[in-house]
Amino acid sequence: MCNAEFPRLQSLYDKYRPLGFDMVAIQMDPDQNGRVAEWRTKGKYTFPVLLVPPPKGGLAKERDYAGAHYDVWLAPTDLLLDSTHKVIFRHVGSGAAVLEPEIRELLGLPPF
Amino acid sequence: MDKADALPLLEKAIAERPKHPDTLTMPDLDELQWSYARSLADAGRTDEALKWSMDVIAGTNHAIAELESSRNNPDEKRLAGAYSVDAQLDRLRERLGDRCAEFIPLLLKVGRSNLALKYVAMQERAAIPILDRRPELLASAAQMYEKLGRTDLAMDGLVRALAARLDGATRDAIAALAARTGRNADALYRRAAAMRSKSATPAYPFALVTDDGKPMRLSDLKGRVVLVSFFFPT
Repeated sequence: MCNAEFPRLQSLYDKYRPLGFDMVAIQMDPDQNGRVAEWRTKGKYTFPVLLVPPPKGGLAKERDYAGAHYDVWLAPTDLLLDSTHKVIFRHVGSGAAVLEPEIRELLGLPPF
Repeated sequence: MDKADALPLLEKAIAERPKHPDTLTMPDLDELQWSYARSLADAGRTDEALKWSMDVIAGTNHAIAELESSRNNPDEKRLAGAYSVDAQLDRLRERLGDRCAEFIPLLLKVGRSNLALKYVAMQERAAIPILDRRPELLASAAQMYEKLGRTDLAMDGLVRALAARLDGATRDAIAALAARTGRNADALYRRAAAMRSKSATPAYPFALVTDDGKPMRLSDLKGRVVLVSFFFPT
């Protein structure tokens, strides 16, 4: 389930933000925008949450923006961008454990 | 049960299996065929074992290629859900990796080194994208390369694997092989990093609004490493 991962992503955000790392969460389904506030309060999340514009049609609504621009069709999917904002790593599924070594490498930190 | 006795039983099972297409409790047809290939090898019927093994492995490759192409079709993604496709792909790639790992020693036994190299490369390709058994299958591929006297290919494969995902096991395998062959592990890590950044493409530069109504652009995070995480709140 996609939300199980966010507490761990929040701790990566807390740990690496002072070292040059940022995180945004893109909410894929415009119909669920009203639920974000509760979700955020419950999880005590501090990273920015971005809302996508309503769909233009064609693809299924919740995948319109993420699918068209990022080839992302499912939640959770994580994209890790290097400091020039190229997509270095893509992970479908709960990703905190595989993401941390990637983040460290991109920040120039030694591996564990 | 004597090993040779397994053959007629498996022949029967292979003939019967397609009559029960929906039975989840039975092994898949290709699993039966693979057992059959293994039993042929055990029974000393090497030529037939080679042929069966290659056929089953070719079939597994074909199934993977079909799933990959359906996964890359946006309509399929929408309809079927790439999740289940990904899970199936993982399972098939594991199967392919395991079959190669089992088949290669047979090829070595009959002196088919060049063919063995081809299957080591296949095992490596199968292992790189999978989640759970990746380190184990990669390590065994590297070992086979070494056995075939090709530490260069073993190292190339490990570096490619590290470029695809930075797992500690792959990094350690590179360090160990580098130490044995007098190479510099740090230079190899840098090569993997260069490979991944070379194949990376620019992310779409989003310009969206946050849930508390502030505009935000990717370019606001200039120079920062950024994780973009896609989700639904429910």
